[in-house]
Amino acid sequence: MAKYILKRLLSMVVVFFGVSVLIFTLLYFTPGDPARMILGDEATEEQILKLQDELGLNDSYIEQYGRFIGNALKGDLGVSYVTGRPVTQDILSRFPTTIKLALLSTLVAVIIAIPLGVLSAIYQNKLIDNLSRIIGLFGVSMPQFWQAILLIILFSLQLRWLPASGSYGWQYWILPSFTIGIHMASTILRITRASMLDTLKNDYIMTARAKGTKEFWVITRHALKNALIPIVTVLGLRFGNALSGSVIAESIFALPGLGKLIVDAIKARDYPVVQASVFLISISYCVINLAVDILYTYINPQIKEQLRRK
Amino acid sequence: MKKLKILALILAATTVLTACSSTQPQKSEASSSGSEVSATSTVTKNARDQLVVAIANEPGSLDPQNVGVVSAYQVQEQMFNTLVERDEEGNFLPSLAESWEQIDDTTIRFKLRQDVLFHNGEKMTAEDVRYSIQRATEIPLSASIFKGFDGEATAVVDDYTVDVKTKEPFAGALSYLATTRGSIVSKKAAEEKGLDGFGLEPIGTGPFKLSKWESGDRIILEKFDDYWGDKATYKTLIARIIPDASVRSMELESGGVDFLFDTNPADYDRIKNNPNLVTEVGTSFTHELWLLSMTAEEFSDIKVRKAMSLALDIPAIVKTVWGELGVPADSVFSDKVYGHVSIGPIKQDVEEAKKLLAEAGYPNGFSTEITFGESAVTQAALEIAQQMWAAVGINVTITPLDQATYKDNNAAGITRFGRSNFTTSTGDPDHALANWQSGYKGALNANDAHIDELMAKGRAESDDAKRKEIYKELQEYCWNSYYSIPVVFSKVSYAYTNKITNFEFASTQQPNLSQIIFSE
Repeated sequence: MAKYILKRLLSMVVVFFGVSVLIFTLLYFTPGDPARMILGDEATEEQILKLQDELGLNDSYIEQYGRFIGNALKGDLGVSYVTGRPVTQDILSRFPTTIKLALLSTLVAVIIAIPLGVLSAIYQNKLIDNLSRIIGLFGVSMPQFWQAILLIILFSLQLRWLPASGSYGWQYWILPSFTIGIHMASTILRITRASMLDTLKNDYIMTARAKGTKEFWVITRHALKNALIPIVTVLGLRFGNALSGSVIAESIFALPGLGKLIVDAIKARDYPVVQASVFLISISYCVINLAVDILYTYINPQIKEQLRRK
Repeated sequence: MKKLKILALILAATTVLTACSSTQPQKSEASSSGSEVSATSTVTKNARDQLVVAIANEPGSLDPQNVGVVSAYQVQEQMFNTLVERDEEGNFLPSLAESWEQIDDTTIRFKLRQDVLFHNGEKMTAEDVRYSIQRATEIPLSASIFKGFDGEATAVVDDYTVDVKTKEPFAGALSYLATTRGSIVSKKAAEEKGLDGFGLEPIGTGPFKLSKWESGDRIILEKFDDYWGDKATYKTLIARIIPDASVRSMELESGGVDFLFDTNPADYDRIKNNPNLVTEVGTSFTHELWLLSMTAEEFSDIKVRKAMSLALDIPAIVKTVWGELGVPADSVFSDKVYGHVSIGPIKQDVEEAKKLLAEAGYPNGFSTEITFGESAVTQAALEIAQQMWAAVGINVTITPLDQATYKDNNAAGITRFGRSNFTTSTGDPDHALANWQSGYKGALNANDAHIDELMAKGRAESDDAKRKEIYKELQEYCWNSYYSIPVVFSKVSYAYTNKITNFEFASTQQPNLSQIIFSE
């Protein structure tokens, strides 16, 4: 197992290198001049040229990339063109908000999706199944910004139960978590339902019932545990996605997260912030994928055995 | 039955808990102590010690000479002072300067107040003023505005007298000095902290000082007890960064914020009709023009340019899109700007537009593309205009671009038809028409020697009547050249809770909020 993890960690280095080349190249060829964005419309061409030189924007592609990767290897991700703050400081101050939002949203999604998905599969084509399918359809097809605004209108404006935006206490996290969580839940609900339906058809479920096991244990211990692999896969992907920051939820609920930081940085052509943020996101994705793979071995011992044999 | 009772108990408990949680601080808590404040010559008890405002973007810096976004100006207005201030009628009032006189064509001598302290406790002297003016002429973001000033030659006469020099006779100098870019900063702090550091921890002389800046979330200002002027009437001013315009409106309605610097046009009626809120609307310094570039072949003929204008029913577009928050443009800059004369608005004449197109060799119309830095309001206006242009045979494609790409296109001179939404923060026509001058890297590219000549004359003319006459001629010339389609003068629209009194309206969209009073 340790060998497997080590192998995966080594492969991550290749992924990070690929990501660095890709993001650098994309930004290099993106139209829009950071110097012009910083100095504004009224700056003279001399001022713009001077700033371009200071930022090293007139150097060749190879020189710029070499400088970027060289500094990154030394742990220096650069300084924001806009704020002049070290990029690491900006990102680290935003990442906790994004992690918190991702965890809470995933929790909301799991609480909604898994019980509903399981019930849907058990009572296939019955009222509860139809209801949960409708909920799933709404969740997946309702645009997130619209859902967010509706939640604010209902809970902040009409009922006055919850604050509309900000992050100054636990109650501030409820609306954003539900906005992302409901959306996330709809996919997980469908996967749970499908996976449970497949599992419930297996012979070992019939055997468990024939042995007189209580239905509750048949569903939870035998069916759900075996149906979890695809659910955990999707959950991992969605969680990784949430960690890259939800731009819409962060913007609407005025949360100081990574998604908003990246979008602002892209608009301002603040390359160091974009590069460093994408790096952090790719690390998060790789780590979560690895965590999901490790989790498989606990859910299904057969996978552990396969890895051991390899 | 027993189960039902338990369920009813759980429901009741949930309701009670929910009711308790609903008292969470939607609005900042009233201070238990309150504070005695002096305002409008009466002593009033301020019911709260905290004002929460919403700003649309997080500024990259709060250094007055090194930032160019409105949300930064709105915060800086509370933290800094300038040598002179301009009132709503355009008169100049003393601020850090007690008095001033024009001692020669290029020199204004300022006598400074001697009781001004910076937020770091240092006394403000003429050297700080000289340093700030020189800094404004050197840091690129303000140097483009302060290009008329001679920072090198600006000199200290004594500890509290400074001679501010301009490169040439410059009638609008005071207007420029009254903007936030002319704010006086602490030389010691600016030199110690460096350019980036000072932007994050600025030191000014204003009624509030920076207390905390929570990146991406809020900027917290604290009352400056040693302020030289009327001290702030409450302790803390919190500027929350809320990017979404409709959420800003809903935060005001639900009590999450107390004050908005601008009202979303889509939410304006709802806010206006809310009995718990107050709206104040007035003319601003902002104009929106659609610019026909002289680098585009189709617009080199004035007949085509005129047809583009005559095809449009500007008042109808403005009424539909801006509603009460805009007036049809009647000149090439806002009526708040010095020397404005009313010429328009453009009167729609579809038949004349068709005739002009035919005369220009486009009997069947032509196709062109308008590009602009993304703006939902402009997009909505253009979509209506698109139909009107189509009625005379002009097929206009609307292409919103992100700001960076749009600026790049302008610099490269490839924008054929663009948009300018410009706030003349100085209130001076020389600033308002900056992008009409030859060599300006914008979407207009008029490169018209007559405009350059009139602008140079206006800049140098110190006689008020003669200067106004020059700008009248200039506005008429710009209007009749049809280089641009003047669309709207947008209005400033403040909205705030009805518990606020003593708010002083400012057309600049940067009001001083230090004298606000909260009623019980």
